[in-house]
Amino acid sequence: MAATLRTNEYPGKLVVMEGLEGAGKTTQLTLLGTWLEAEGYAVNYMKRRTSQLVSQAIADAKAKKTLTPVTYSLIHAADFADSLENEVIPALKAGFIVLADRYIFTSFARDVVRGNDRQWVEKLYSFAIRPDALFYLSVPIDVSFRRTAPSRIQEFYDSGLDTGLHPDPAECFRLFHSRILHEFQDHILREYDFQALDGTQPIHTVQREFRAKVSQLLG
Amino acid sequence: MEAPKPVLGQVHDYPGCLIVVEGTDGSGKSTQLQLLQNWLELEGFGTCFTEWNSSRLVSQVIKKGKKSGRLTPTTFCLLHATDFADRQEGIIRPALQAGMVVLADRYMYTALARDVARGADRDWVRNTYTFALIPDAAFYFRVDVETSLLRISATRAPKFYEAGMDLGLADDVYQSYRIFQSRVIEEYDSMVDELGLRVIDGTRPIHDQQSEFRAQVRDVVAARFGPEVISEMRA
Repeated sequence: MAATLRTNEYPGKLVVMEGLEGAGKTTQLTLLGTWLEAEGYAVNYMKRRTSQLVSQAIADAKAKKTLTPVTYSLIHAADFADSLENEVIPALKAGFIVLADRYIFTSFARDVVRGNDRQWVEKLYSFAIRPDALFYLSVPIDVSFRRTAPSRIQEFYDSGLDTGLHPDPAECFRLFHSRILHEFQDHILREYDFQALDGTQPIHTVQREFRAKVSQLLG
Repeated sequence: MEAPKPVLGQVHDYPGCLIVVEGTDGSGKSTQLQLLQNWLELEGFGTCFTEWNSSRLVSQVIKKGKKSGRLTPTTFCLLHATDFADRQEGIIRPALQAGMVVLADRYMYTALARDVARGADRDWVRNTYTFALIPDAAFYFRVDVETSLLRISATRAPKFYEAGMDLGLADDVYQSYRIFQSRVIEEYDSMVDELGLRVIDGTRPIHDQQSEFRAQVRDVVAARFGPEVISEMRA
């Protein structure tokens, strides 16, 4: 069952992009933002682990490898809440278009793959605002793997080494992100109103389609 | 047929024993817990003490967030849950596995009372804490709001968040404390039957409360470690 989320009652719009590592989310959102600003819209970005409140604590804990599945979930939820309430909502109130590079769905997938209960995680994030448009930039796992920097693949939590799926970082990255992909395919994409974009197409092709879809939202 | 008692949390079957104290500031719970800890150690039990908002992971974040006034009811709840989870995994669970009596000064009930008093959705807060281990016993040291205020003001003024000043209930910090902590007490009271809190009257003499506290804890540890520990323990 999909989580019940709060409706966006503010004048601004919330556009969310989800997808695997290396799918091209940030590239596409940046191009979209530049275009929107050229069109005269005010744009604001939302990114994970950038909250004033806890992003540094998360970075420290990741470096020290002290996070468990439950604390990993909760501290990311706190990070998300701080960004949402202190940055995103004020921007929406002021009529900005907020472009979110990952949103609660990334947490749903990662937290469940880490072994947390799906309903627990969905309820945890029930304070989130329902996006006005939800995009999934789709790439196969091999493409994701090829496009992801080796330094990131070596990173303990990003590769899922904390799950103990495999001792080798590269192998673990593949297994961990395959499970995340399945979590999207089997649950998240079915339960929420996503529009798919093909991340294997040339960047400009994807961007044109992305702009066309966002134009419809803006009317 | 009687309805089954609602359970919040995970049942533990570790060799150790988890005892928690709850109550408003100035209820005397910390004093009582310290006396209990000394007594348990005299009786030969290994003890492990853990208190609210003391995790390595986020306690400093919470302190800074409180100071800057940046915390909202949502982040207030989530950060305290993070703090609690970090201590559960890093301190409480290992100590229980090692067969210790874990003594927690405040536990999830503090969050359930405060966060709801702060306006967070009751179901949402309860869902957040479903990962918590159910304690062997949770003692609620009950005092009225005036007693609580009188006791803490002997040494200091109420702090911003403990007075609920973030909610804009009153301009005066003492008045705000009265309103906010009355709500907290109401929430605690509602959990007594629902979640099985054991009430001890925190206005009675310290020595009397401690006798009652020990008598109950004796049964709790006996339930966990076997009935033979009772006869070995001094009254």
